[in-house]
Amino acid sequence: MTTVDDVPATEPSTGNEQQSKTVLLVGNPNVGKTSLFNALAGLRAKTANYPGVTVDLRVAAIQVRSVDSDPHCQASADLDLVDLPGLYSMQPASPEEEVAAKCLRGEFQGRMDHSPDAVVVVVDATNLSRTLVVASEILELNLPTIVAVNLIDAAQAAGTEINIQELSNQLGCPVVPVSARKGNGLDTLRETIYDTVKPDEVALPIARASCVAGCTGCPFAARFDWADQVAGCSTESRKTVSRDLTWIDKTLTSPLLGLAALLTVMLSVFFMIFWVANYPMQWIEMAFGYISETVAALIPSGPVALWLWFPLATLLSLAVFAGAYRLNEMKWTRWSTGTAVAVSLLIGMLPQADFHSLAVDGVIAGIAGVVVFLPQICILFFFITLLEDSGYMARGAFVMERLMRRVGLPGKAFVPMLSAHACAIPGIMSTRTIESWRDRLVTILVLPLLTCSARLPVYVMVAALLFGDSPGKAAIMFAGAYLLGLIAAFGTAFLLKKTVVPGEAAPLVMELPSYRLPSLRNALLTMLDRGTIFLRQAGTTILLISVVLWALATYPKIPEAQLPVDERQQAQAALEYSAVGRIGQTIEPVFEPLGFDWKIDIGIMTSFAAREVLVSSLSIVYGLGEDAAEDTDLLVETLARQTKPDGSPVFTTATGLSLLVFFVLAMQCLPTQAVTKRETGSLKWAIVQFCYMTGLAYVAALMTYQTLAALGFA
Amino acid sequence: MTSFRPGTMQCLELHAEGLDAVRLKRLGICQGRLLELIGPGDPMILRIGTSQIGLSRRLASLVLVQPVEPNRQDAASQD
Repeated sequence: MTTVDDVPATEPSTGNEQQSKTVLLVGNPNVGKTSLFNALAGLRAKTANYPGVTVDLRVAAIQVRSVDSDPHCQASADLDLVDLPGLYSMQPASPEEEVAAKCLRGEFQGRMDHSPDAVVVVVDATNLSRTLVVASEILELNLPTIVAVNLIDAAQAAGTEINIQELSNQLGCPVVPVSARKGNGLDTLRETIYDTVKPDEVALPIARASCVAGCTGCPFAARFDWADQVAGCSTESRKTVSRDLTWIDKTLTSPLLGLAALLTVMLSVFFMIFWVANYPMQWIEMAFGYISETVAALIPSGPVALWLWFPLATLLSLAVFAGAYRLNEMKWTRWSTGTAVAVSLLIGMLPQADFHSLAVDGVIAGIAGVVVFLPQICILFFFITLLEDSGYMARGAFVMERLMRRVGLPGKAFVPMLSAHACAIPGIMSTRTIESWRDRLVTILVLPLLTCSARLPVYVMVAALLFGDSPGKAAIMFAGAYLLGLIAAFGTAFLLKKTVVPGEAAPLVMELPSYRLPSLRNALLTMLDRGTIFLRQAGTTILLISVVLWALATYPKIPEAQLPVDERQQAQAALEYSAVGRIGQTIEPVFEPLGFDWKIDIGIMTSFAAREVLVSSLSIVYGLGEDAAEDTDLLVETLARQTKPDGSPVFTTATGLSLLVFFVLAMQCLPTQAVTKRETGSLKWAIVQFCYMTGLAYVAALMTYQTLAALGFA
Repeated sequence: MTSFRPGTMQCLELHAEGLDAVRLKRLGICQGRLLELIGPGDPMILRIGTSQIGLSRRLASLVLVQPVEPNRQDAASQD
């Protein structure tokens, strides 16, 4: 599935004419490799996006130099430091490992189609023999190699002394002790990298002996024996009195207490997300409100000469295109340039009032709809990274294994499923910890069924509409909606495993890393990285789709003669007259068995890209104007008063619940689909996801409405 | 291996194939290695050298082991 047929979309500029060298950072998971990368690269790191590959490689352009006595004549080398995914062996067991192994062999197409200039193997000083195993395989590639012994401070604290010289002799390559957390040894590591890649040196061919050469048994066993022997020769352990954490571990991995602990941890994280994120979300909403007011004020309301207006509007539109292309790392091909120019010329020709509406209701509102979720996503990734670095996350997956396996999912699918209750996008982004591609795919496909926070405005509206006078019933309805999402997700996972993606969940065998104090710096950098990816992926998609939806909801324009006098009714009439309004009226028969009239259909169509838009759409389509969406009471009151042509109310219990069920299960979120496409590497799965979810939503809403109608609730 | 109690054992044979075999071996569950069962159950916890490994019963059933006598343990681990 990891096929690459294009060159990488980004080439980090080195600012140097000289071709920069590629240095790969490689090692087992949990050896602090990413911490070391972050310590070396800091904010210079950039996530390189390789088309067709679902794996991100973090690359940083850095400079290494020799530490000379004279600071004025230091020689330096520019290099691209690449943080490869964690690797246990050159025989890959996950898509990430496959990419890492290919990069090491120089078989990865695109930028890494040549052998790396140097490899830094990161090993864990507290677990030397196990983490040296992969080093033996990498040394056999006969590349210029450096071994960085990370967590040297932790090993010393535990009474393990490592004889670096002896280790270097045994391995036949330079060995540098480092502590990525404290920043010790980083200068020496940089210098060693410089010495290894320095340009004026004629590289001697390297030929290292293989530890499995001539052995007939299991090559893995031979490597483990070799690593044991090397580690044994170069380490010396003093018995120290250390704190025994075994009892904590026993509790955290026990079936019942472990589960309780996991739920407590996760619920507190969730509480933090909703509670803490509330403030930045309010600020973002306020900021975008201010921006749209400012923009609205900047666009002249009086007539402007066409010769001035046309180039101005066209240039502005081109600037937005340039920004979006840059953000999405799109190239200026003939096609993309043509699109940008054609659309910009079209926008330049728009009347001023329409341009105003496009800027405020289309572009700014579209961007605001995505950015508002950024705080939740950042906080979620911050805590998940902390929990992962501490070693707890592996225990969580271990405890959940038994439960999750019953529906054909691995224990590791638990974290994505929980994250998806905030937003499906970070959930899908965190499925990368799942090794097996099939398990990962099934998890990605079912995640958007779980109740995310964008559904809540819809739930609130329906609850107020149906059970406004009974908080108890409203609470039951909320719980029911969450439960329905969960049951649908587990049920679909089970069915997918039986049909489209056959096979059982890969049985568990995973490392339970030792507990460690997590690094805040690492968590912050990961959060920044993930947040940027979210903005890039979701931001550009939603920008495009909100402009398209804006156009559909604005054109064709209602003739002046038919325009009502009242301003609210004007918006209603204009929407009814537009393409969206007409489609809504045309497809009314399709949704009629679900109890929806054409006005609700308009709401469903306009919320196609983002569910929460339903509330403001219904507000417009029922003649309240967009601002009334903020006022739930007024909206609910108006909705409750709506009647069908025969005089019966539109929003009966049956219709309300049918609408609720539809929104629990329907896809209705384009940014999620963009991320699904990215993580699965193909549009196919995004389409499968959309079709099955919409189909499921339709059938379930149909059953809900017809059953309730038969029971007399319509 | 599923029928054993906590304690040290030596891995004799691996009946796994394909990806399962790779996943087991690269974490140190391969012929001749010493495994210590420290948390029985499904999934179970093993100690291999200095690392801890979580292992499902299904994979454990593919691993043929023999218990190592406590007095032999030291000798075996020094091999």
